[in-house]
Amino acid sequence: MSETPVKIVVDLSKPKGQRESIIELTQSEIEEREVMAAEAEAQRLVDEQAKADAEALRQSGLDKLIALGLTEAEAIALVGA
Amino acid sequence: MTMTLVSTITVGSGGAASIEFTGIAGDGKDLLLLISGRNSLGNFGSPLEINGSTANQSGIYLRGTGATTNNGTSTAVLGFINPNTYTANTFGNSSVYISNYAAATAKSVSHDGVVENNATASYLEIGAYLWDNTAAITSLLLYTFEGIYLEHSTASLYIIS
Repeated sequence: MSETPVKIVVDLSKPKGQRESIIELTQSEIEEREVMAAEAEAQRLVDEQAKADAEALRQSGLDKLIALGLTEAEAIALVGA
Repeated sequence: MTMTLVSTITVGSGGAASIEFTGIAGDGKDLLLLISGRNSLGNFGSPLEINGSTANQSGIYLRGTGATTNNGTSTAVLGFINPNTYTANTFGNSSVYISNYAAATAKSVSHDGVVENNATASYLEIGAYLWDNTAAITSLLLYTFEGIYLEHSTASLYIIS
């Protein structure tokens, strides 16, 4: 891959065959993308934590239902697979 | 109704951080953007800038995750492409339909997208959005939150008139 990321720009106002340009990103554009990447990573961690929390809640509910005397199959039927 | 392919871009071997269509003529009625893409990292989002900005976009989505469903609101139209962590050589697909793109009114936008993965975790989404701006749309830019579009990713722009 190219060392410097590029962007593809298609200028539809130009004649066919002259429309496409491949342009290296400027330093400010690269820095902007780095900020976005950090934000995306932060959001991914939030999402993963939310997923883990939901699974923990589900398992806790299953355990309590089983402790009440339901079979695991019955508890899963109530809670969902 | 006539559907005219304006341009198709296929990303080359070096990848690309964004794909932009500029100079979109205002002589059509609606726009359709089709995306087939794969990201070099682990993110499947591919937001859309309209006329150089993601401002004034808002919408709602319904998403299936492979194990469950969820819904929510979003401040940007979000195309789907495959993250590079998903099954090798597979690509995600999205379509974005923009109504009355040259009219002096706010624009309604609908989209659907899927990612491909030979595992439980996979996604599909439909969404309805508003671009609350009365300017004619003259440019569309697809980009990634992180990573780049890998080789063989494509974006095609159609004008419906």
